[in-house]
Amino acid sequence: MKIMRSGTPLRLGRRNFLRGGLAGLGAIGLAASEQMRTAHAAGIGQPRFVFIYTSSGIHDSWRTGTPGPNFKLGPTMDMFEPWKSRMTVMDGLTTARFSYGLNPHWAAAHCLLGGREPIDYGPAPGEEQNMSSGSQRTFDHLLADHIGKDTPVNNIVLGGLDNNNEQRGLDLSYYGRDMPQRAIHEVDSLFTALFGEGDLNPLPLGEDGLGARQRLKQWEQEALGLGQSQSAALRSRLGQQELLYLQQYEHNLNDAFRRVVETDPSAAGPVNVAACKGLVAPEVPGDGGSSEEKNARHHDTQLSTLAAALACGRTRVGVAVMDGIRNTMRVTGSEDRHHKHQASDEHYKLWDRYAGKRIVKFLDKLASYPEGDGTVLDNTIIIWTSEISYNATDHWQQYHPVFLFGGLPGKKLKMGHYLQIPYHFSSKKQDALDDTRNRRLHEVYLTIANLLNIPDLGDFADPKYTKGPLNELI
Amino acid sequence: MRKVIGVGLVLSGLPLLGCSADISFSDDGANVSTSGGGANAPGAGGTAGPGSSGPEGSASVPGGSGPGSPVSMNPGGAPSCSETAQLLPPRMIRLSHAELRQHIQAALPGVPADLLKNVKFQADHVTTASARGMSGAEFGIYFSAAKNVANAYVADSAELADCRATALDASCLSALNHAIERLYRRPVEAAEREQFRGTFERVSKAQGAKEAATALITGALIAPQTQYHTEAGDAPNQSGVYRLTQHETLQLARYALTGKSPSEEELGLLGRTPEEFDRGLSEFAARWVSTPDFIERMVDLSEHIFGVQYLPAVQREEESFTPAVQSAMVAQFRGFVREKVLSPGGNFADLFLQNPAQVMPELEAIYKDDKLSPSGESPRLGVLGLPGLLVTLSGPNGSDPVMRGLLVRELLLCETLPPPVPDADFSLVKVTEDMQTRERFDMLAQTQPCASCHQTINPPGYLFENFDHLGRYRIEEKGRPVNAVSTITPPFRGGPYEGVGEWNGIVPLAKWLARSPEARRCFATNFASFVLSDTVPYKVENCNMKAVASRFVETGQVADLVADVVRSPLFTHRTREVMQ
Repeated sequence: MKIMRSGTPLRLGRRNFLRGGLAGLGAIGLAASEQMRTAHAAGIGQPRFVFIYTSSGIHDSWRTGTPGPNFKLGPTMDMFEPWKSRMTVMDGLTTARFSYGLNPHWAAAHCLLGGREPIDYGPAPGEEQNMSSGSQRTFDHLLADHIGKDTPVNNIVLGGLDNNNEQRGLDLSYYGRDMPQRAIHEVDSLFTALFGEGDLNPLPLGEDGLGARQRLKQWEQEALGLGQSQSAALRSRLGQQELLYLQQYEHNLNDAFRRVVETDPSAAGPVNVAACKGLVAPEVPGDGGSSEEKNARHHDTQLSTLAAALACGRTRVGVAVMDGIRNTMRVTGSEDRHHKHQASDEHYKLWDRYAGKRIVKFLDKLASYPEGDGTVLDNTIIIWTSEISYNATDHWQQYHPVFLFGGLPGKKLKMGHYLQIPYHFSSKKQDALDDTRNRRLHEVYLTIANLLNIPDLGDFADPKYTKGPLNELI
Repeated sequence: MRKVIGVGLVLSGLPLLGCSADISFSDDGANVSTSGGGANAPGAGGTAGPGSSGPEGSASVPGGSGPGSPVSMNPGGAPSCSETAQLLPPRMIRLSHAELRQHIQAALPGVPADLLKNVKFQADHVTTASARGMSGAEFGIYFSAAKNVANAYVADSAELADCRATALDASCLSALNHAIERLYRRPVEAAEREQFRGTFERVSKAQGAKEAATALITGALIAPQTQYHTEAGDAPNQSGVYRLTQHETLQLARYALTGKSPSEEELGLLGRTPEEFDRGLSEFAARWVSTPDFIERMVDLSEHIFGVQYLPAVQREEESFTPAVQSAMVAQFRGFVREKVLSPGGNFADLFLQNPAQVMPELEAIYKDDKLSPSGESPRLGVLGLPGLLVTLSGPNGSDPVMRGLLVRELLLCETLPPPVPDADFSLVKVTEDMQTRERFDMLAQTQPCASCHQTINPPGYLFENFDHLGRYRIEEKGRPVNAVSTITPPFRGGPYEGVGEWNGIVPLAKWLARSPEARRCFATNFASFVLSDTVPYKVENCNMKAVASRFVETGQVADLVADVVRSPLFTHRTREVMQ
C-alpha cells in the first residue's frame, strides 16, 4: 500500500522488500532512522503505537453526534472526561470489506489491523467449516519495521485471559501469512519478554562500556548467524511444504539478527535509563476478589508493564487484547458473559465502563513518565476499538467505534475532537460495506504512517477500499 | 500453511460463531443469547453419522481390517488406502515448551532448571503442529534463555573443561560436537560441523575459547535442528506418498507419547526391515503406556477431549466456588481419568460406567444434593457426572445445553456440524424471566434459522439439565421440576444411532457411550490426532482409522490403540504435493 503524499511516492513494495533481504530492510529503515535522529535532536520523543481491542462490540451510546472540540462523551465514556483534550472520537468509519459468510466476529477481528479480508485457504481435508484463514502482515508489524526496529522488542502482543486463543477468534496481529503473533497472557512472561533480554545477558564482557557493547554485538551476531546457517543447512533437506513451517521460525531468527547487525554500539541506545530504573517484575495477580477484580488486576498489570516498556524504550508497538477466556470473564452486575445476544443495554455498558477504567489507568501511567517537555503519552498514539459496531446484537460494522488517545510527536494528529466522518449508511450492511465512499478504520493507520513519514506499507490493506490518509485527522 | 483445528478445540470458539452465542442466563434473567453451530445453509455442512457414507476412500481397506493387522502395504511400499488427501502432508513439528525443557536438560546435563524457566511458549503438546508458532517476543525470551543455558553449561560441565582454556583447542571442539549431537538428536553432518568450526575459530580468536563455546551452544539451541522434528523422508523433493525415515518415525512416536527422546534400546530398531521396525515400534509403544510420562500426557489430552481444559480459568460469582473447590475439580477429573482408563486393567468403558471411589472433601457440598434423586440411586455416572466437566460446560449463571450437546456430538461422537449462518435475528427469540434454561434454549431451537442446527445440537444437552452451572444436582428450576428427558437425535445427514432411546438424565447416556462403537472410534480418532499433532484428515471417516480403531473398539484398551496408531500408514507415511 503506497501512502500518497505530496510529490512522487517512494515505492518499495513488500515483494522487493523481501527479495532485497537485509539490504531492503536496511534501506527502508534508513528513512525512519533518519527521522528519529532528527526528532531526537529536536528534543521530541519517539513515536509509539498501541492498539487496544475489546471484543464483541461497544455499546452504541458512544455516538453522541457532537462534532468539534466541545464534544460530549457518551454515558459509558464519562471516565474519559479529564482526558477529552487528549482523545479523539471518530464517528463514521467502517472496517475493510470481508465476507459475511465467515463468522462476523472472527472475520472482523482479522480486519482490524489487517485492512483486508482474511485469506481463505478453504476448509481442511474432511472439514466443512472453514476456520483456517490467515491474514497478511498487519499494521502493527509493518509499523514495527519502522518505528520499532531499533528496540529490543519490535512488537508485542499481550492478551487478556484468552488462554492462547486457540480458535483464532481473537488473533489480530500477523507477522506474515498465516503467522499470527499470539498474545502473551502471563504477567511474568510479559515482563520477561519486554525487559528480560538485556538484563539477563550473562556474558562476561567486561565493564568497559563501548568495548563490552562491541563484543556483545559481535558475539550475538556469531551466535545468531550460526543459527541462521544451521537453518539454511536444514532447508536443503526439506520439501516445500515443510519449508513453510521453517519460514515462520526463520523470520524470528532473521529479525533478531538484523536488529543486532543494525545496533550501533557507540550510540547510547534507545533505552531511557531513568524510566527503566528500578523496574521489577510485577507480582502475579492473586486469586482473591470478584471476577471483575481479578480481571482488572490482571489487565492493569499487563498494561502498566507495557507502559513501562514504552517509556523506557524496550518496545514502541503494542497490541493489547482485553478479554476473558472463552467469554467466561465477568464484570460486576453484568447478566452474563459479554458476548450475549439480546442482553440489556446496561449489560453492554458495564463492559465498556470496565474497559474504559483500564484504559484510563493506562493513560495515567503513560502520562506519569516525563519525556522532553511533556510525557510519554504525548508521543504514544493509542487506538481502542472492537470488531462489532452500531449495536452489539446485530453484528454490524457500520459506525465503527474508534477512539484515539495520546498523540504523535509534534502534535501532528488532531486530538481533542469528535470527528464526524461522512458515512453512507445502509440497512443492508453488505451494501454499506461495499460502498466505496465510506472510509475505513485502516485509513487511520495510513494517516499515522503518513505523519511518521513512512512511505510505503507494502501490500497492506485492500486498495479497493482505501482512499488514503484521513485529512479530518490531521 | 493450513491451520488445522486440533482435537478438543472445537468448543473453545463457539461463542464466536454467528448463530451461536450461548444461551446461558442469569437465574433471574430474562435475556437470551444463542449458542451452537448456527443454522444450516442450503447444501452446507453435514456430518458423517452412522448412516452416512464417508468421503472417497473410506471404503474397507484390503487385508487391513482385522484386529492386530495393520493396513496392508502395496508392493511399492505405499499404503493401499492411498488417497493422498487421507494422509497428512509433511510438517515440521516444534517441540512443546515442556518437551524442549526436558530435552535441553537431558542433552546438557547439570544446567540448573531455573535457567530454563523462560523456555515457555504458549503452545504445548496438545497443540497442533501448525499452531506451535513463536512470536518475535517469544524468540527474544528464548534467545535470552539459550544464552544463559549455554553460559552455565560451558562454565560448569566436565565435558567442556577444555573449552575453559583461552587457546583454541581441538578437544574442546570435539566435545562441543558431541553436545550438539545430543541437542540435534542425531549425528552432526559434515557441513554443519564446518559451520561450527568457522564460528568457533572466529569467536575464539576475538574473545576466547569459552565465549566461542558459549556461542556454539547458543547457536545450536536456537537452531531449528534442536527445536523441530522433521518429516522429510529420504527424498524431500519427491512428490506423492512416501514413508518417513525410521529415525523420524521413532522420534515422532517417542515424543508424541512420552515427550522424550528414544532410549538406546529403542534406537536399536533403526536399520531393521520395515516390518520388523513397525512391529518393534508397536511393542515399545505399548510398553510406554504404563509410564508416568504417557499417563500425564493422556490426562492432558482427556481434558481437551471432554472440553474441560479451561476449567482452571472458569469464573463464578458464587462464594462457594473457591479456588480450592476449583482445584479439587481439576484434580478429581485428572485422577479419575488416570484411574479408570490408564491404570492397569483400565478401560474406555470404565470412564463412563464408574463413579469416583471417594468424594474429595472440597467437593462434598456439590455432591450433597445427589440424595434428592427420586430413584435413590446416584444421578451421576462416570466422567459425565464429574462436577468439573459440568461446570466447564456451563455459562456463568446457568447450565448450557448447547455446550453440553456439542460435547456429545462433536467431541464424543465426532459428528461434524454445518457452519454457522451469520446474521441470525435474535429478536425473534422470545423469552421470559420465568422460563427454565431448557425452555429458553428450546425457544431458540424453534426459531429459524437457528432451528435446523439447534434441534440436533440441543437434545443430548438437555439430558444434563439435572446439573447446574456449579455441577450440583437439582430437581427444580424456577420452582418447577427440571425436565431432563431427551435423546440423541440422528446426526446431520445420518441415520439414528443404534441403541439410543428416550432417556432421563445422563446415566443412560453414559451407559450407551461406554459401549458405543461410534464413541470408541471417535476417541481413537482424537487420540490419533493427538499423536499426529494434527487433526486426522476426514476424522473418523479416514480410511486408515478403520484399522487403527478396530482393536480398540473391541477391547477398549488404550495400549491396543497406541500400538495400532504408531504402525498405521497415517503415522508412518506422508503425502507431498509439489508446490508451484
